[in-house]
Amino acid sequence: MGEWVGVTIALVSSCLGGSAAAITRYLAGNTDPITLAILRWAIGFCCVLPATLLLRARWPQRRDWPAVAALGFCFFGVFFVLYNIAMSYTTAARASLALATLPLHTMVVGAILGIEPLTKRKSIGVFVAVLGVIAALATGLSAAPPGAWRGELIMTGAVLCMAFYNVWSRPFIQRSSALGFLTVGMGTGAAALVVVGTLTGSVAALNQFSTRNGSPAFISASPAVRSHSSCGCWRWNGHRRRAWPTP
Amino acid sequence: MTVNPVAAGLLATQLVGEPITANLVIGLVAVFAGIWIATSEIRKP
Repeated sequence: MGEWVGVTIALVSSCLGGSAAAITRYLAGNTDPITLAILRWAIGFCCVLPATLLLRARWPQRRDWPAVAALGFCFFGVFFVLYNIAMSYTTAARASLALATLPLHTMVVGAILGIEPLTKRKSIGVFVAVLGVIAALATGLSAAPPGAWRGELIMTGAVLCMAFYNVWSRPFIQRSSALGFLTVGMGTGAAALVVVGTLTGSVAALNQFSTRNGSPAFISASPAVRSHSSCGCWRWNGHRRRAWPTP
Repeated sequence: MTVNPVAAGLLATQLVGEPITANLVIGLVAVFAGIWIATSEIRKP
């Protein structure tokens, strides 16, 4: 695959990710975060599972399944519930700006876990980005929705969660395949969300979801969220198999 | 990753009427600069 093809795929994936953020923001006002996460990952799993079976992707080894399932729960469960909660407090652009620091958070987590040292140059990069984001969010707080700082704080917690996922998942992807790892993780996350959603009433809310959110915008938005959920995660995992999880 | 907030901001202006402010653009430039500094290496002669 040529470099430009790879760059184009990365750009399309990032655009889909940004679009999904705006759509999540649009839906967050009317929908609880667990319902939204169930919808996203249950549909995503139904798209990814047939692809894994048809392509005969390599599944994680049996001894890796508990760890892969735990990572899937952390990312597809915890991260996306935090993400959806954050989106209900702040604007899509402000939340996405906090999320954009993910590569730098991953570097810091990698250094904390002793996987790759944080060099002077990397430290300067992390400092510039974090300071810039804090300054940008703080100066624009007066024009942001009330309590937006809560959303950005929750998004920072979600980013840390994803940074740990990025670092810890790499050896499991290398021992199996990006698609096999993704399918087990997404399936576990979706199943856990359904269990939690059954207890909290979020699954019952799905029955009314199509009527409450049955606007043309939702109908057009759903494919974008689904395509990002499945293709974006596949691309992200595939990239991490080969390289350090920075941009 | 830095394309993500641009797409989010542009679609959010249309979908939920959220403005893209100058400080958000400055924050994005800072993230881009930070990632560039952290991932690029100084070439030794």
